[in-house]
Amino acid sequence: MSITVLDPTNEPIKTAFEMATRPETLKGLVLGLIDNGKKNSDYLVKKIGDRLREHHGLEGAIHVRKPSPSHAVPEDAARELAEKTDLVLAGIGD
Amino acid sequence: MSQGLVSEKIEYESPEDAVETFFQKGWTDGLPVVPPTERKVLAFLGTAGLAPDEILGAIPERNRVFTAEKVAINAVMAGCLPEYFPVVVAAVRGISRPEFGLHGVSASTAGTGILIVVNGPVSQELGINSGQNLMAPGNRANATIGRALRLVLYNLGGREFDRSTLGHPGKYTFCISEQESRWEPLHVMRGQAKETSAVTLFAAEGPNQVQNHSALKPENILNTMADRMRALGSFNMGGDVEFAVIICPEHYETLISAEWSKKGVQEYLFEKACRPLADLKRGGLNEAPLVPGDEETMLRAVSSPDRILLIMAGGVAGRFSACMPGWFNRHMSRAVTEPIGPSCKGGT
Repeated sequence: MSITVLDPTNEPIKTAFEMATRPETLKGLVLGLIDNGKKNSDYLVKKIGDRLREHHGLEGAIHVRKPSPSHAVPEDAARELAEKTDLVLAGIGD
Repeated sequence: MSQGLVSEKIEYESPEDAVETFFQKGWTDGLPVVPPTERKVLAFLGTAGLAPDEILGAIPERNRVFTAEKVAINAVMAGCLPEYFPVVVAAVRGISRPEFGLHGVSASTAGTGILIVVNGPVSQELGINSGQNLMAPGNRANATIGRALRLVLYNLGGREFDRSTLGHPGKYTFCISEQESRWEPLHVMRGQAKETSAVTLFAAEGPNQVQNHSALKPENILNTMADRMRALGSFNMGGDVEFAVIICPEHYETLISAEWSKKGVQEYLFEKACRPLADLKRGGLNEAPLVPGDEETMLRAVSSPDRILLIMAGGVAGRFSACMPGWFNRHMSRAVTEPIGPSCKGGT
């Protein structure tokens, strides 16, 4: 006896987006640093930012700490990063 | 016939083939499922009064959405009866609230389960167990409502995100009901009307059983509970996380005979579930060096009495209560209480 059943799974909703243009050099650019709020995440992304500034001539960096690793970057912080930075590095720590 | 269902239909030669193929496709929790036929799914949606495309919740960080149709399919698979479905719906709505932090809860290496506590008239109407063998197998409503939530997370939320180091058995199913007593029910303490049926969802470790068969004084029973609550290895000690505490009927009788209210119990446990900062430093949970005063500086398991979710439940025999630490911290996940929808018999 055949049986017809329904697929219980779904797929993530796909949203169209374009990749940002990759800079050819970091010289004179402002870097956004997102740490996920876990232990040492702030330390890790700050160190990376310092190294990039030291060796690749970054103009500056803006540090954003997520209030919770479980949640997305708050909208106002995301807007600030979009307006004031040229590229963003998202880091994790644990 | 499909009445708006959009899920792909798959034909198998027999129900056994369907069950086996679901295993192979990774669509189960490791146990056999009930094949989700269109007829059954429509019956579930009809019971809850939901259109198939109604969105019950989501995990926005993963671009995952839970439609009523897909949740119903997974509830059928879990073995639910149609009348259980409004409870599952409320649970899915609850865990999707931002403060529950579902993305982290369902991905964390900490392997937390999601405790479902059902209160209100629906508990009795659906036969949700609040008594003997409270958290153990044997009762269909408890087993399948909790299981449905896990199948939703795996099949709709993305099982690949679950990175639990150990997990715990409550991740198969973790649904209980609170007994009616002279104590204020959990959902009332959390702002619902007594006649409302509601689910409270809490990201919890597995249950830590606390036995005390000799104490006849409330304080002695609660001191035993507080001792378990202040264990070093949970997120609660030194953090800011909620705690679930289940008081069994025999312990409850001792407490209520001495006129202890739930609030009184919460306040007592809040005071007693603490330990010196020095202990955390010795455990390396606080990396600062030991300094004079650390033995006297006390840290608590919860940051206020109302962060203890106090539940009365369990079998009439035995002086075994339990506690369940929470997950990570309250900024990442907080317990939520969600009313069960109007279509659920007995709910409001």
